[in-house]
Amino acid sequence: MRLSKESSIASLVFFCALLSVLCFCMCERPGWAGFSDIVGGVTDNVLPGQAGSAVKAAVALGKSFQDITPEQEYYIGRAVAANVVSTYPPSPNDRFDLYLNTLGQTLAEASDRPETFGGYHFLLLDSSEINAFAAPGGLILVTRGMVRLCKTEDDLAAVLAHEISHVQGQHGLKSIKNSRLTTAFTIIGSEAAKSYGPAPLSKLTEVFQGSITDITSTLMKSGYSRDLEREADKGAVTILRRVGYDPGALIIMLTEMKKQLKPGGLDFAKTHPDPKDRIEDIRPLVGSGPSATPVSPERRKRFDAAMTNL
Amino acid sequence: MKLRRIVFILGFVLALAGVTRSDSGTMSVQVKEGQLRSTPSFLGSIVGPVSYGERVETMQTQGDWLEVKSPKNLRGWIHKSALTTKQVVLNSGGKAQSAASSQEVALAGKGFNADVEAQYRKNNAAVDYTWVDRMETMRVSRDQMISFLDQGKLKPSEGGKK
Repeated sequence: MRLSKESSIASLVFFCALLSVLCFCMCERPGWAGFSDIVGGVTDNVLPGQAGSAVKAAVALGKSFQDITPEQEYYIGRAVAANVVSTYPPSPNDRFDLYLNTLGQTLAEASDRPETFGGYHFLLLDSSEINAFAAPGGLILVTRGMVRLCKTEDDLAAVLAHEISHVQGQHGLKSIKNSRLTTAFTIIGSEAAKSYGPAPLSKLTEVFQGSITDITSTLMKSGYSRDLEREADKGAVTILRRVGYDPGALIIMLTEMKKQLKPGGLDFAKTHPDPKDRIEDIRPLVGSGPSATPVSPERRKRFDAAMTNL
Repeated sequence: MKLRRIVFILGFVLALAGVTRSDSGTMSVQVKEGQLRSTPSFLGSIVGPVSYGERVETMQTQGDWLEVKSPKNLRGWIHKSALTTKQVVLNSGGKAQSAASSQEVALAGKGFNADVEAQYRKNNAAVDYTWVDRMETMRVSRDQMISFLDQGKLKPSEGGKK
């Protein structure tokens, strides 16, 4: 009798312990982080599903784009952004840039990769083309043409969230040719000094130059694959939802782009898949119902104020 | 009686392990400037800074956030994207570390670095970095974000606002 009482207490205690472990595993998703299974978050620079192969392959000081350290990604991003602003000059507008950075950096905090080496920064470009660029590491550039297409803050948030997702997925780095990375990692692995001698420095700079060309030509000419664009759209929906914006704004923007872009045009049309296909891809995630959150008058007011004289 | 006590202690330990999920270990800061927060959220108040390469002791994990202790004995939460399991070796001049795999170490300042950027800029005088440097000064504080969210009647989900 006594033994059975003890064993029933024991089972109860074990059951409670098991329940608490289960409950913790299911509930742990604080902050804005989470859903990394949906968007494919970055963990220590190793993407899910590729971790195993990366471990096996890494014998020297790296092999693929995942072995580019955040610090190196930062220098790549700076050069890519410098190239973009050399082609599309910025539109100096302190008031708008402050608004753009407040919105953009708040959205970035809600991404699966809120921390990059140098952080996320946003800039308005003086161009009527409808376009936006994400340089590796978080330097994001948006044209006036694209901003003018937005009718609400939620629309602009959708554009920025899409670009943030490209940074999160390290899509820019993926366009660097593998042969360049192999050369770079060989130099990094074999050269001792922190500051390189003239020969390795010259070789590294050559590889760097080539890598920047790979990325800028992808951003400005060829564009990403439909798969990467779909990934960025999915990531954008997640970010918008986490912050409290209407994810349907992405569909509104894509619909607007479909109207404005001319097939065979030089801007977004050239570097992005047909907006119609992208809408079909994300429709199931967004739902077809009306906007979840009506745009508040305060949000409308500050958006309109920021857009004045743009 | 003895059996009952053992069962209770065992149960208690198991229950505790489930709640806190202690995750002790060491990780390195892989961003230029990191912040430790009072809660596992970006809107949590800032406890203090951690810098690139600093080794932090991990205490526990909650979702994508880790509670860590810095070398200066600051304790706070930081997002996992700011940390790496690799050891970040600063000032790695001297012997080549070719024996170490990229899974174990990240050599700070190696590869594409400030010297490579300087050389690249020398070779490409037309590429202007003025605006890139200016962009990097555009920073929004936690307080600015909180009032931006409040003013815009935005309510972050998943307990983001703490």
